Amino acid sequence: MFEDLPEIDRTLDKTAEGGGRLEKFSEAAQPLFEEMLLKAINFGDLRDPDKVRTQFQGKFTVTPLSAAAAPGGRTIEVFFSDPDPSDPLVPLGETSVGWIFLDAEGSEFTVNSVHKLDDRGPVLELSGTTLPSTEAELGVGLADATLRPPGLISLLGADYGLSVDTHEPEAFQRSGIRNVSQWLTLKGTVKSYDILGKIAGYRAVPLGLWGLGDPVPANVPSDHLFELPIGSGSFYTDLDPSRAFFDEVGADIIPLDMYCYETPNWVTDVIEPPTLGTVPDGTTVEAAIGSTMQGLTIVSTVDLGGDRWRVRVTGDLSPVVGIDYWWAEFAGEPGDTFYMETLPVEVVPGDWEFEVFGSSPTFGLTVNINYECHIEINCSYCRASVIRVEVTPVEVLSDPDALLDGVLTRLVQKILQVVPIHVRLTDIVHLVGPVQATLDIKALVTSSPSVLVAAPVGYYFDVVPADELELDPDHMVASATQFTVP
Amino acid sequence: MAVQAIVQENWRAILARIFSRDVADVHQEIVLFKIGEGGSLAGVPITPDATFNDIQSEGTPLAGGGTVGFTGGSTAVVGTGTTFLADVSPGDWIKPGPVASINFGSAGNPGTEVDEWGEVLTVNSDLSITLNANYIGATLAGRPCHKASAPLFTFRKTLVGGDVLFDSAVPAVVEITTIVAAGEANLDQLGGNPQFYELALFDNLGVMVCYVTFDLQTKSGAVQLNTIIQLVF
Repeated sequence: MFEDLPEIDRTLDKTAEGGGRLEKFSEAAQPLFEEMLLKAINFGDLRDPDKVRTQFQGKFTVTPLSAAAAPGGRTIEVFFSDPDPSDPLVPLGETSVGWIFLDAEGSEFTVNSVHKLDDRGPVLELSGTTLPSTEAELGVGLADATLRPPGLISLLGADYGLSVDTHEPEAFQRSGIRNVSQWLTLKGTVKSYDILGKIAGYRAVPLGLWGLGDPVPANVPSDHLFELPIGSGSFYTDLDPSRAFFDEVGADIIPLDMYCYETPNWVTDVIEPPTLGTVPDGTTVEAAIGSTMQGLTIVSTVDLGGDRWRVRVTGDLSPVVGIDYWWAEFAGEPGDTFYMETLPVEVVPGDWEFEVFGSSPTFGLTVNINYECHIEINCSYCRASVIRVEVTPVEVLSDPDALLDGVLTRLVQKILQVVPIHVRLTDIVHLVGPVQATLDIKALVTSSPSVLVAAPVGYYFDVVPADELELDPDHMVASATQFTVP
Repeated sequence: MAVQAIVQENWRAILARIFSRDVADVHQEIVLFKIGEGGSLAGVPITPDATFNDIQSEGTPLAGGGTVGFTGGSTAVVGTGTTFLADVSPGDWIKPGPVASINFGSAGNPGTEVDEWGEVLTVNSDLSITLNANYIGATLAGRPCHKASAPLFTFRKTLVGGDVLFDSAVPAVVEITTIVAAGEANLDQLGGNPQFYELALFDNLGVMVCYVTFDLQTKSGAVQLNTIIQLVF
């Protein structure tokens, strides 16, 4: 820096009268300018979610000796011991206005002013009117506090309309901003809930609910029936009002006045149709409709051109009387859906033919014929602007560094960012588990006379309104076996 | 054989706090079990209740509270702050309860329980009872008074290495094996073979972990009684 000064000044400084003071001053100020240069070069870091400073960077430990109200009583002065009075960077380092002082008991204060070379030793002036904990109060060695520069990531987040959750681990804070473009344009979609959930360490699945009229249909299972809010008398379900249609299913095959999710007692119920045979207990109506046409042998397949195929199978396809919602699942392509393009025709007794579309499908040896029910809305069963979100923590939440305080509440706040304005999030289900046994189990179970039974918790199933999140340990069960000797 | 078990409410809270990593003050261990003659109604084991904080054979504290003084070798029982006339009837059996515990959910400090019961002959006043025989236990005062319909026998035993096993698989299971050996617990206060219906586990703070009832088990020197309890999370 000295070399950058005009030559006349440098010459005068080198005279006996100048005494080199200007050169020494230049050298002293050089680190400050270098730091400013570095900050200018790294200015882009402020826009980079992977580099911008969070509250986890730049912090260091200090030992406050005592604290007192500052003159005027509107701020607090905190005093520190000064092991090296000639070095202004000891012990407060680069602490400056706006930094955060975090005392041993977790209270945060904002630094109002810094006096590194005060007559009374280094002094921090903090905003606030309560005193932070110090060694004078807690005892020597018990009051270590932390000083850190303010996190800048929340300023970056604000540019995108995001409020950064500072309770989260650093990686989540960064990914929350870095990945904003993934969900901002997807607001209201299932995918956006998924992304927001993952950012918070959860798998989040939204379910649109159906509003139920009064009276509530008796055939909605109680575990799919929700009163939201509780006590309001408004009931909802997450089950589609799907039904089989007369035009598509042979009328003597299945009773068609039932919802497809229903699981009647097929064995004893009078509605069991004679042609269906015995259907296992617990089978839904939808599964029962196709139950006689599973694993049918494929006799032949003919390529009709234009990706159209004629399939001949052995069996009884008489239940299929309309083609719109019937589909085939071939053994060669399990999980793929091939809708029927033509009504099955019995070409010879016991052999039926139908056509499907497919680009060189692998048929395999057998085929399942399945029926997909229609959603049939009526006055007592209609789409509601209410959603229910199921959240499951993913592995990252077992990270011991994760700050779990109010994690669910904060997750809800995140999810609300993608809930469209006409939709109400009224119900959130917290599915915990199986959680890995990493909480505080330790291996104290070997030969000690007793063990620490710290629970690695199993399943939590909690259905509460979103504003009353709580944990409910009712899943814990005990069982006992007893025997006598001899 | 019908055996029923339940995790006590007080322990569920402990587990929930551990789940939420609030581990700073949670460090309980299962260290003791009690087996007793209570826990039945007319010979039928009762359904385990998650709100119990002690085994039924220890008796129930008097509703009116207060403390009592028992004197070994005397029939006189003296109450302080008690309401004997409302709480006790002739024919009831009473005994000093354990020293009160400061631990939430604990029925009393472990190890301070008293085994000897006295049968009530007359209730003289709210503060005085006469037993129908000299009290056979030690002289004690300042204890809460426990009551039962019979001199119910309780056997307490500390669990040892290998009795409590932990399996961290999913679901995680803690398996506690309680053994009443052939030579143990063969004589109740009336000189007969104990008629056991109930069993409970306790942690190091005296908080009941789990309560089990079962069909009548008559304990004698020819019988070793093993009960394996699984706590599933």
